[in-house]
Amino acid sequence: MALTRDKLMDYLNRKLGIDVSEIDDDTLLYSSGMADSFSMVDMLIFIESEAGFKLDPTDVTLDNLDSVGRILNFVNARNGGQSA
Amino acid sequence: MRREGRLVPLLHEHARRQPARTAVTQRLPGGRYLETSYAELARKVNLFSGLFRRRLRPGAIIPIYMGKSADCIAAIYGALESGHVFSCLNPKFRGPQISAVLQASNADAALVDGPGLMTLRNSLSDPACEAVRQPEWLLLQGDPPVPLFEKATRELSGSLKIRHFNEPPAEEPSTAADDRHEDAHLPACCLFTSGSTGTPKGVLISRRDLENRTWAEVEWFELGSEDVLLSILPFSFDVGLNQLMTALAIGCELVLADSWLPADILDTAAARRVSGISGVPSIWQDMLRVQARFDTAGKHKSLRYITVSGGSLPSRQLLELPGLAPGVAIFKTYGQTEAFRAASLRPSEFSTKSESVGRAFTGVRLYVVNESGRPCAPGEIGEIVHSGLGVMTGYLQSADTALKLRPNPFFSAADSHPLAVFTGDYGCIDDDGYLFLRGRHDTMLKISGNRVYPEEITRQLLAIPGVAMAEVVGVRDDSGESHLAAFASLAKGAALSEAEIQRSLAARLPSYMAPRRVLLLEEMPRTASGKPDKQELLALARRSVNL
Repeated sequence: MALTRDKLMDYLNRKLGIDVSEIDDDTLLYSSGMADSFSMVDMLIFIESEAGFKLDPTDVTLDNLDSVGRILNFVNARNGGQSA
Repeated sequence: MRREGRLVPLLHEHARRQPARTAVTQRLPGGRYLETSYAELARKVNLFSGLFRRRLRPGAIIPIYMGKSADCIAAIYGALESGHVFSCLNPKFRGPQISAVLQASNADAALVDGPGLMTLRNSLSDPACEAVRQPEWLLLQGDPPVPLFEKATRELSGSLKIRHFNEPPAEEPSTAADDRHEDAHLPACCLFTSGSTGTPKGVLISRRDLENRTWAEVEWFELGSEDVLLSILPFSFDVGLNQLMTALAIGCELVLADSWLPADILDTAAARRVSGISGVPSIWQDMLRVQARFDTAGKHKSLRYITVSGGSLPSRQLLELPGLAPGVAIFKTYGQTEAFRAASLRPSEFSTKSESVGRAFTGVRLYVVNESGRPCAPGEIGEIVHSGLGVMTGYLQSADTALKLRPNPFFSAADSHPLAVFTGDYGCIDDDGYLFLRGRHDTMLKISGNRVYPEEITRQLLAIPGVAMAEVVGVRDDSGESHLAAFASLAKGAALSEAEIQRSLAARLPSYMAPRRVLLLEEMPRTASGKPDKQELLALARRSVNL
């Protein structure tokens, strides 16, 4: 399984109410205030269920998840290492 | 060290005595930190108070709808200085809550930042959010400006009254840094909290109480100017606000961080040598779950205390808590927006009374009363009544006040406060005077420290075109945390999916109020008397939220 951009965008729109037509891969989601940090745990659950592996929680920081590009990089880096 | 005094003059005094000392540090992306000195913060406070004096009617409520920053703090103190009433709104509020706040406060002007403006834009098409057009929005743009927010500002300039907050030219007279003449009984602050009527309620706090509760906390946590406090709670929450007030009263450093991720908290605490953290149970639960731990012998050796505020932890986790931060003092606190910090458990009492929320806080009288209003015997469960420090002056909409704030039934020479808050919380006091909480008799839930009435969510569900009937229930998991499940049945001919309803709710509600599941039902289950069958709904909810 892999986390795709489409699924991530759908999640951002559906669960966080973000208008995804306005954001690109580099738009800061949490530190800009577009997404609130409260929803981060839900985001982690979503990523884990889509990517099909557990994240090491002591490894996850806001910086890792602050944009669409960073989330995909973060997940793919770990996915490559674990299930390639 | 002074342990008393008015909050704004003290801030200016710190600015004179220790101008270069860092007052506020903000954690930025990439692990960078932006520091604001006491001198710079005091200068900004003067700018805001001058602006408020020039543009607003005396005593007006100033909604502040923005994330935590040095500017946000300067606006709060500016309002205190100019004699206005600041109202920090939860940054998670959406259009319907903002509209309700603006209507209730009758605000002519409000402060907003880029993200806030984006939210306002999304609510413009909703007729129920008409009130967002009412005030003049003073926009504080970040530095450097974010293109996305600039675009939103341009698009909105035709529909909303937006004024860029620019620093006035230097020749403009600065305002006197003295609020001595202000009446201590006038409101200083209005905090909006979830209400059973389905809309947020404004809780008014007097200038004197804001000041006294600050000094009471300074004393309890033994704060000094060498402390560095980590602010992870919003200023719209009384615990987060009081932490801000104590930091600036004592002249120490406050570190602003928005992330609740364990790795970020550990990192920030080490990088800034944090000594105290005020937290809600879910923050510590997350850390315990992932087996995060403060290295109190090494990089976290500055950490002196943590608090468990705004809710309780189950017994098992209470026992694990000392292992999270070995040697660190743990304060448990209990209170409400309407009755700030009724009780607190001191660290030395944690080993013997960890299940208790402690004894009455400084200046507070606590009672437990039975249904006929008589004091309960030790161990007998009744409603918790609070008089003294921390009691609100009333709700903004006065009709609700009479139920919550009543003549103090224990008014006497020993308790000379004429009014007491009937908290709606149930509990008992043991033989040693320690308070134990035992739930509520209404529908209020605590979700990650936020108070939530399911009625607020039901109201927004019913506002979605096509939804005919709606109910919301909360289900508690093993760790004591509540999760929301929403049920909706559709109007004839309406075609809405569960995902579409979730999307609509995400735009209308703060994220902590967003139900974990939305379930469409052909028909609402009813009891024999025709009321929604809550037991049946709870059973459905338990099966559907996968606890």
